[in-house]
Amino acid sequence: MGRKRVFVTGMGIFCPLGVEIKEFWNNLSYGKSGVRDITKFDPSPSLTKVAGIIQNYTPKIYFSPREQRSCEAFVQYGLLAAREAIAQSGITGPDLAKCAVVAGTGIGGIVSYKPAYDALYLPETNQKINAFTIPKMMNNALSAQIAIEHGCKGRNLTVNTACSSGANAIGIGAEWLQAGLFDTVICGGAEAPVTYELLRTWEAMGVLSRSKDAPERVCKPFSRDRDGFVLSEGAAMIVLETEDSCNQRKKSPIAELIGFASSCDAESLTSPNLEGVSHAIQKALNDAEISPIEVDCINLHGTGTKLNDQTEGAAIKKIFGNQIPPCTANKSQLGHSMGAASAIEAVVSVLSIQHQIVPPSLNCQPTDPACHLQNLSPVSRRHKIQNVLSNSFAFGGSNACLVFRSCN
Amino acid sequence: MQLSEEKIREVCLKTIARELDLPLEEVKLDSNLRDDLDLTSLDAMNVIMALEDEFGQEADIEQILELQTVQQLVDYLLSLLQQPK
Repeated sequence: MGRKRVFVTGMGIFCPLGVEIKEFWNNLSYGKSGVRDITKFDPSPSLTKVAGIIQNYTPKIYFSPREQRSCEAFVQYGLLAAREAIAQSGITGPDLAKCAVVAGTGIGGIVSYKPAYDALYLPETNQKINAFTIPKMMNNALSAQIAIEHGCKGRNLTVNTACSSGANAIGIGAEWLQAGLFDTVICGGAEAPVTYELLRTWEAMGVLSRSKDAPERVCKPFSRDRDGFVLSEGAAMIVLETEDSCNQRKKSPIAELIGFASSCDAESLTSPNLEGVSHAIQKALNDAEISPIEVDCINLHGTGTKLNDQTEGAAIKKIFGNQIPPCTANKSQLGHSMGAASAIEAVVSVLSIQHQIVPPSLNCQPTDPACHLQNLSPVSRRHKIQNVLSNSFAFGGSNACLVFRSCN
Repeated sequence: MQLSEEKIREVCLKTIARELDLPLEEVKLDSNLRDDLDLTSLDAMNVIMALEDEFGQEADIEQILELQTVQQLVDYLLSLLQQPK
């Protein structure tokens, strides 16, 4: 018996370019930027002073005092994206109770550490160790809280493969459906890493952009002038569903997930590897049973670091040769939201199919010839899109690629 | 020095409001800790630790977790703090 087909029936997003799908797509396709000056703490000791930031986030609009006390921001963002995705899918009652959840986060609960450490080591701060410290900082709070809020009693897993966490979560969810283990899975990723401590620790690695350009000009994937990535925050969740379930519910799917590959470079914790990256792309195409020429759009990982962009470009050149389809680098507008980024880009991939538009890539010109990607545009392009490849590559050498197909 | 019931009540209400992030006027003596104030066992831990710091006296967590209302918590603290040492 062959594997079951898997469809996207709901999507939700909460990120610097929008707190619901429609707003997000309008801003993204219009070429707006979610990269802004950091104001929630003083970034001045850092050379990097911008990040992708969700503006005017007010938790009490969305959550009860109890939920606010017990959830860190990364969980809150994930819950908000899941609410929208589940609402769009229309799954309710017993169907929701059978649902599985797979959520990805690269860093998870980091904010709760500081007051606890301050209480232990800096008594002059007069902090107490909060009883919620452990349940707030544990990474699987993300998938667990989604299940608790919606009563999803199927498998519940939180995936951490750094910056490919969201894509791996979606891929694992799809495999559970293909194998017939579940009818529906809620999957995606969430992250809230814009803190002073993380800004400084990422900066210490030398991977953040130090550009003094206006915030929206800082992240320059594949450009000759690129000098690093920009931290960002947010979440995206999708509801995946089997063909049988869609038919039974008479639910028209948004797109089909036809390919997934997950692999490890097994070479370096931090440096990307051409063989590993190209292997993951090729495996995803094999899984989708399509050839490179059938890919109509590539949603790039494109962080804006020298080595990452060059390696991704070289891998694409190796597989696609001189027939590289239109590409889009969403991190140019959003920054890099770690474990959420690949889930957000999966949503963008589906939206690209839905709207038959390749979203813009800001600040990429002049492109770096070493990246081989000339097909990047600062404005949206109308394009016939049947299949989209979405790339994600992460520290740990953890690669994850997804392929989505139009249902039309 | 023995604390007055009024002082214990005032500290108790303020502590609960602060730990549950609620306006002070929402915390009443007849409020049910769980049904009205949405107090979880972890919230109870935060409230207990704050009250222990406030009054310099160790409380019995098991006993406090069985209390239903704010008034019962005040009564418990009163008996704890006014008993001869």
